[in-house]
Order: sequence, then structure tokens, then C-alpha cells
Amino acid sequence: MKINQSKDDRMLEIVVSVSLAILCITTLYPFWNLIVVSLLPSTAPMSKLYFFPPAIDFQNYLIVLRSPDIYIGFRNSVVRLVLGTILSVIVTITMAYPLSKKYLPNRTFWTAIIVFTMYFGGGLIPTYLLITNTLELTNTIWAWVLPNLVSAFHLIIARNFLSSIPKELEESARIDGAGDFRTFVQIIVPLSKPIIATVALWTAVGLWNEWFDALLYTPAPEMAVLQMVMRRVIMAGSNSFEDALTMDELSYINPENLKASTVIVATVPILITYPFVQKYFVRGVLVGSLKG
Amino acid sequence: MNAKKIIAILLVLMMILGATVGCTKNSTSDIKDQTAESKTEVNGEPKKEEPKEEKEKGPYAKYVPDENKVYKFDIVTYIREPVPDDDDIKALIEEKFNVKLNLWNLEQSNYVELLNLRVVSGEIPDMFEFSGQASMAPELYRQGVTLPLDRALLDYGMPNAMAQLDMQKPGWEDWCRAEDGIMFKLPDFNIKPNQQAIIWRGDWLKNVGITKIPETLEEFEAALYAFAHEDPNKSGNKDTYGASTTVMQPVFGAFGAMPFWSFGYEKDFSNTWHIKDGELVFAGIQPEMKDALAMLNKWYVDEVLDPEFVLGENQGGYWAHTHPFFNSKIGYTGHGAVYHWSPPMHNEHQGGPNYKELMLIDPAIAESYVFGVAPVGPNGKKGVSGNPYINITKGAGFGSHLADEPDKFGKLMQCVDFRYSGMENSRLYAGEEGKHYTFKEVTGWDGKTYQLQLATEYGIEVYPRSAERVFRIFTAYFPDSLSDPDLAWRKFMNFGEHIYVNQLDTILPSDAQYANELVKLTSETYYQIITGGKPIEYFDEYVDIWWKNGGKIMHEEANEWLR
Repeated sequence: MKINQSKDDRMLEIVVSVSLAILCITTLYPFWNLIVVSLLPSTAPMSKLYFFPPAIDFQNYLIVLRSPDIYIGFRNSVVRLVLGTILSVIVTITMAYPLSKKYLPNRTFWTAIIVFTMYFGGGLIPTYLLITNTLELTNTIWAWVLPNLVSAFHLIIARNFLSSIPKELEESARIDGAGDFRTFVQIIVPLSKPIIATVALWTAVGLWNEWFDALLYTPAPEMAVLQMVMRRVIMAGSNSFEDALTMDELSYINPENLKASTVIVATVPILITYPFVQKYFVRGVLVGSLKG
Repeated sequence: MNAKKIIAILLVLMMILGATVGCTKNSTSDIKDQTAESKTEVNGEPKKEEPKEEKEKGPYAKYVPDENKVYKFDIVTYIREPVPDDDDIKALIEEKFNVKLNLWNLEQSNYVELLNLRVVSGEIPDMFEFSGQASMAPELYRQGVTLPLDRALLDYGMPNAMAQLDMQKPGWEDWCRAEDGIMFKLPDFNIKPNQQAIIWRGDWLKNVGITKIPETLEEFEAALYAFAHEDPNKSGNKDTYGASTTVMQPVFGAFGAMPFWSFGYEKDFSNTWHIKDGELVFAGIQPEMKDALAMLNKWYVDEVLDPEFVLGENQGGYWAHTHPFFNSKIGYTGHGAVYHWSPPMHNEHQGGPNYKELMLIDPAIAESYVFGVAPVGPNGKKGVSGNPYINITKGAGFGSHLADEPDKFGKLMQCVDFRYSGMENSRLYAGEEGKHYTFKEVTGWDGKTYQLQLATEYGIEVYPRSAERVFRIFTAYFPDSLSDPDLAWRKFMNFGEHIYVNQLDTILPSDAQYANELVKLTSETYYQIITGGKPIEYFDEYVDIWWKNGGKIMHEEANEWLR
């Protein structure tokens, strides 16, 4: 490889590598710093910057993990993620499949209706009224799942992917006697793994990070999701809420390292799922987006 | 018709549908109509015709609650953590008053937004706690969501609470009136005086031969120059400065205006207005500020100011930490509020966050810093930013529907009044002694014995949380009880006596259009003049730009509001 490299090429390679490395470090360092801060003992001055913690103390993690709120939040977030992702994938794929068929009557019309929702929404108040008063979903798990069950964007991507599957495959299945449903389940779904993984991952990350709908629709303490619990921990030490602390609290709470460990606890679960779906993920995004 | 036309019609239909969905049965206009009626009802209430037998019992007979009825109250409070339905303190309060409570768990950080959403969707609580935005309470009143209040009725319904209010702040009613003269809320107090910290390195003062804490602007300047040039840390090098970002506030204060909000926003200029000669004026354009800027510019040129002062004193982490002061780079700071710098309040207290942090970095610094006073300027003015005693963003109000249910309102007033009828009664809301709280005797900073009320769950004194804020208007204060060494300390130190506050307690119609731009202009101009990027004469040009770019409109609107 290096035989034919000119001086310019090598220079370019160095410049590119160095700048990418710097970019990489600037992305990773905040996360590293968070880990370091979360491990700091309460006897270490917080106003200093550490590259390695002077001493490692898991006290903060113990405090975080001992709080019952974290488990309630964790359980709710997992329930929401599993239920929401499964339903969302099923609905998205089963809707994208017919839309990918050229012989679907009024195909452009149905597509237009879906695209319409990408540009126009009902606004916060009508949505709130619909979910709380009309559908009466307050403090139920459906309030987390149903309102955003279908994402128009995911649907379009999935439709594009499915229309790239050669129709000859379906025809041969039909010759063998398979009906529409059997064709879909046994031929199409196995071929669509990349797009299913992509949609699932996007939905899962979205559901994991979302907190605003929980704030609106599920205010009961036993319905708190993990991100809400985390938000509360982080907000508690910010300047606008501090007036509400007693001198005792101010003295005993060590907000920064507690916050850091809460953030780590809330982020790591979704972070470790990435490597497992990544190989499908990249393929799904590429294939889905290329054909229109 | 072809497909395209059908689609176009459908799209239009859907948009209309979407726009009207929010305006069905529970729209805001409905609320307005409903409450316009109830408002008139209440305004003329005591004089209104009443059944004869009620008249005999006095005008407030209809406010006597029905003993056999279990009232159900919807209450929204500014809570830190949501209250579960089976909360035991909640149960305790319900039992005590024979009522049912429905507490709205609205997240603190989006309190205003969430409350407005609920109100717009037609849900109105019986009792409100206002928080987060000064304009919230007047807005709700204007929309007819909250009940107009009548002092005579309140005196009848909650005499203890009213007596407490009069004791804590005589004339509080003036802070709670809308433009029509009607009282629309009850006030909440910043019971603990609070202001921006004024902190000197005591050992440095000693090293440069200053024995008295600077009181005038000249003494203030002399101390800062000595810190910068007379080697206060005895290192032999020029490695110190007088002060950094937070020196701006006492200097501006000495000249008579404060273009800053409270602490926590130390380097961010703000849309602050003062009343001057009966007129609201924008703090940033006051002519005295020109002299203040000239002084700061001189300090900058003479290397008395930290050259990095534009960046602010906090470099990440906990917001009240000041890195240049912690690292012995500067000898004066005003970063954070007084409570961040408080020494241990009693024998088991570790001190405020900054004291505690300095104890970890270098106990010598923690032991040596001293609280100063705001320097007196050439015209005798002085002060830093602080909290006024009446907390304008807070307070309590009642739902306007209570006008139609006088007995329920009467019951609600009874429940509220109980909290203010003595120290013992006020403890009901903290739960049961032994179960939810215990008492602990400590020796305070002043050597006196204090009775601390500790939450058993945490083992420390905590701010009332969750159900404890039910039926609360403001913090009760019983002067005889030695229960709060912190309050005693703040009163002893005379904090909050010389403070500047923003006297424009509202949101102007033109704020959205101009306020941010003009504050940005102020901030840029000030920093540029101090660092020498623009000559001091540029200040006049800035004032001119300010007036021409929306300042005039804001000034007019502000003074209209004041009248």
C-alpha cells in the first residue's frame, strides 16, 4: 500500500488522522471526565480537573443504586422500551410493506397522508387534550407508547428498503402456493432484518431518551421513567432551584459526582446495545436511503 | 375531480380540523367567560343580597363549612419530588382536617409550562402555588382562572395567617394587586435574607497591611491594587490579581445601578430596571455607569483585574465554585450567594459548599476569608444584587370556581390558617415526631442552643418536601423559637440590607422582540469598554443605540405598567 504513496499523500494522511483523532478525543473526553467525576470520593476537591481520579470510591454509585426511584425508573424505561419497540416495528413494517407495492390502489395518496404528518402536527395543547381527556391515557403505559407509535420518517425509510426487494422472490413464493401473509412472514421479513434492526434501534434510543411525554402524561411517582429521575437529580443542584435547600442539605449533598454517577447509570444500558445491532444498523441506513 | 384536487382539499380540511381540535369544550375563551361572571360576583360580594337568616349570622355565614361533608381539594404545589397517592404525611393531613387531597405532581423544572397546559385543558386546582415566573400569577388572574381576594374575607377566614403576613411584611398587599386594584394572590417571602457574597482573603489583607475591611470605594480600590501589586501571597512573583468578573456588581452598585440579576448569573448582564425619580429606567444606560466603566477599565489596564475576567469565575462543575479564588489567583470574589460561603452553622454542620470545598483544597484559605461590605460610592450609594423580602415569582392563589362554593373556600381557609396558628401546629405538615422527624439540640455558631428539626429519612434538616407544602402560602416565622441558626446568622450579618433588585416585576409586551438583543448589546458594550476594545466615550453612542433599537418602546411600556 505504501509503495506508491507520494509525499503529498502521506501528508494528507497525517493531517486527516490527527484531526480525526482530535475530534475523537473531544467527543470521548467529556464522557471520560464524567466517569472520573462519578468515581471521586467526597474528600476530593470538586473544583479541580482530574484525568485520573486520585482515589476511586464507589460511594456515589451505591447512593444512586440504593435509591428506589432508580429501580422504578429503570423498570418503567425497560417496559416502555420493549413494548414500544416491538409494537412500533410491527406497525411500521406491516404498513411499509403494502406501501412499497406499486399495485396498491391510491398509493401516492396514502403516502402523501403519511408525509403530511412529518410537516404538520396538532400542537402541544390539542395533543395533550386528546391523550388525557379523549383517550384517557393518563398514568398508563400506553401514554408512552401509542402517541409516537409510528414515525413517518421510519416508515418512509422502511418502505424504500422493501421496494428494493426483487418482486421475483415474491412471485416464486406465490407459485409455490404462499398467500400474502405467508409471503410477508417467510420471505419478506427475513430479508428485511437490516431495516428492522435500524428502525428498532432508532425507536429504542428515542424511547429511552424521551422524558417530556412522561412529564406530561404520567406524573404519578410510580410511573416515572429513568430519564425523569435523572433529570430530577441533575436539576436539584442547579442555581435556579438551590434556594429551596437548607444549609444542612447544601452541606451534605455533593451534587456533581452524584449527578455524574446517575448519568452513567442511565446511559450505559443503551450504550451497550449499540455494538450488537451495529452491523445491521449501517447496512439498513444505507440500503434504505439509496432507493427512492 | 382528479386525485391531486382531492388531496389538496383533504389537506386543507385536516389543517382546519387540527386547528380547531384544541378549541372544543374546554377552551380558554370558555374559561374566560365563566370566570368573568364569577369575578363580578365576588367583587361585589359582601354587599350582595343574601338570604335573611344568613344576614343575621353576618356577611360571611355562607363561608362556614359543612361539618359533615368531606371536602376534596385539588392542590398544586411546587414540589421537588412527586407525592405518591398513599403518602403517609398526606394521609395524616387528610385525617386531621377530614378532607381528601388530590395533589398534582408537576415537575419543578417545567412547572409554569405544565400548569398552564392543565389550566388550558380546563383543569383548575382549588389552591395554587405560583412559582418560576413573576408574570404567572397576574396572567392567571387576568384570564379569570384565580379568585380575586378580599382582605376582609381573608381576615375572617384565616386570621392567623393574615396576622403573620402583617407581622412579616406590613403593607404586603401592595405587592399583590393587579392593575385593577384587586388583590390576586397572597405573597411568599424570602424569609432568609440573601444577597451576593462579598468575600476578601483575610490573610492577603493582612499581608498588604490593611487592617480594616474596605468600606468605601477608595478603600476597596486600594485593597485590590495592593493585592495585584504588593505580592499578597509572598511568592516574590507577580502572580496575583485583585479580583475578577464578580467585582463588577459592587462597583456598579457604588455608582447607583445594577445591570445584573441575582447571583448564579454573575457574568450575564440582564434586563434590570430601577425606579429613579418616580420613573422606571433601564439600569445599563444610567450615566453613572460611565464612571463605573472608566474605573473598571483603569483596573483592567493596571492589571488589577484578572485578564480572564470575561470568561467568568466558574470554569465548570458546581456553579457556585470560583476557580480563580480557589486557586489563589485573586483576593476578592463575589461569586455565589452568602450561603455558599457560610462557615459551619452549628457544631455538626460542615459549612456552605464553597467553605467546604476550600477546606478540602486548603483549610488555611477557608479559615482566613472574611465577609466584606458593599463599598460606598462617590454619591453615598452602595449595594450588590440580592433577593427582596417579598418573593415576586412566588405566592399562592385560589381557583376562581370557589366563588360558587363558599363553604368549600371557607374550609380551605381553615386548613391554611392552621399552619400559622403556632409553632406546634405548623409542624403537622412535617409528619409525626419520631416517625418523620426528630429534634436535635446543637450548639450554633453564636454559642446558643438550637433545636433542629431533622427528617428521619435523611438524618439531616431538609427543606419541606412533598405533602408538606400542602395548604402553604408562605414560610411561617415564630420569632421566639431557636430553631434556625442559619437565619440567625444571616440577620446578624445584616445580609440583604443593601441590595439592588429588578423593579420591573412583569413581562413587557415588547420583551420578546427587544429585550434579548438590548441585553446582548449592553453586555458587549460593557465588556468592550472594560477591556479597552472601545473608548469610554463609546458609552454615549451605546445609550443612543439602545434608545433607537427598541429601548424607547420598552421604556414607555415599563412606565405604563408602573402607573
